[in-house]
Amino acid sequence: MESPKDYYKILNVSKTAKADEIKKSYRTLARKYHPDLNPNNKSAEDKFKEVSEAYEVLSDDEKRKIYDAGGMDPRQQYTGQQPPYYQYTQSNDNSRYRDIFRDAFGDFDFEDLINQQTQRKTHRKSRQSFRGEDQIFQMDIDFITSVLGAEQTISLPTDDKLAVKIPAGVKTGQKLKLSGRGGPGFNGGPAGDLYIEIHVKPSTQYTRVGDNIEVEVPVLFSKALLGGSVRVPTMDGFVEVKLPLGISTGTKLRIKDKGIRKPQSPGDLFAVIKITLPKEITPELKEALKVWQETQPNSQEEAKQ
Amino acid sequence: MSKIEFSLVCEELNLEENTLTRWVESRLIHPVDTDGPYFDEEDVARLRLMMHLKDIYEVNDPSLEVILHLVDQIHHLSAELKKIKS
Repeated sequence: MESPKDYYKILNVSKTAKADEIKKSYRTLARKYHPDLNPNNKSAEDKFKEVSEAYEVLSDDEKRKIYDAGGMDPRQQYTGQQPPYYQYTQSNDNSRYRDIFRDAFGDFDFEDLINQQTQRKTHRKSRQSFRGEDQIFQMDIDFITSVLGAEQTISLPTDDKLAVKIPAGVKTGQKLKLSGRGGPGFNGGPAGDLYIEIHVKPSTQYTRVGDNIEVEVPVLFSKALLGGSVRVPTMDGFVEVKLPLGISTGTKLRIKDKGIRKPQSPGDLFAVIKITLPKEITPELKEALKVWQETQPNSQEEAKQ
Repeated sequence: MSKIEFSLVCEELNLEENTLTRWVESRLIHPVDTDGPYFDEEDVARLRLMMHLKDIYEVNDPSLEVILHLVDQIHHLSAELKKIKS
């Protein structure tokens, strides 16, 4: 008869070792010899089996007692090791896991995976039905769409088309939730949710400030002094705005309700005036200005005002 | 391949039902879905590997997902390589 193996020696612990010592040593050895990390290495696999066997006996108080007493061979109680995972994936042409990453992610992108993980929500359901996976997609929209809102049809990587209502005032980073449009549920479980993360392409012309929009409007200095009107671009065409007398650079003229078009409380659009000078100063203009300047008592004081 | 029921898998592997539910929901494990979730031997071997990673290597769920995706890719590539070689 084969002499019983020395499980203590296998696990590299003393006969008086405490449970946590045994566990620690088992972890260290199992890490080293794990068959899935040493595929096709027979000696590592044998060693792993041996270590697991020893741990199964020594980690169980009952079995350990029997073993210590030199009683019945505790290996009779040992459930035995199943083949390691890699053997299934190598021998089975129909392995469902080999191609998972292609099915689930199309062109596999590691960053996507990590992003999905951080955004995934876990849900608990009754024990045999499972909620579908939440999915998240990114979507770029124009600035004007973020102001006015719109309904857009998007194509998902799964080739499905989906009508998405983009509310006015949506911001970069905001996620639109489409309940039940994520991954299918399993065994009667509900489908997951689909999230569309919005990225608003910035405008070169407009700046968003809360629910208001600012747009810079150049005004020739003469118009600023003499009065007149300017054309201010808005999301739906130009609006003619009368200039109050004596405006200067930075003055903001409000155009009501032309900002973010929130249905209940639309924001305003502000024309931010920028006084400009003519490209060419004609002798007549120079002369006129000289005459004006001479009427000013102190031009330094003027600048301070 | 034999089919094993949800609760039997938990019992056999000494795995908490909550954990298995979580792993299925996050698609780390894909049970066969004819007449309720069944797990085959490959699933069980995969679950055993996952439990090893969790218990022996103290890997948490997000890391587990990354590791399994890498493992899946390696298996996929090595199978492809085998095909090319033969």
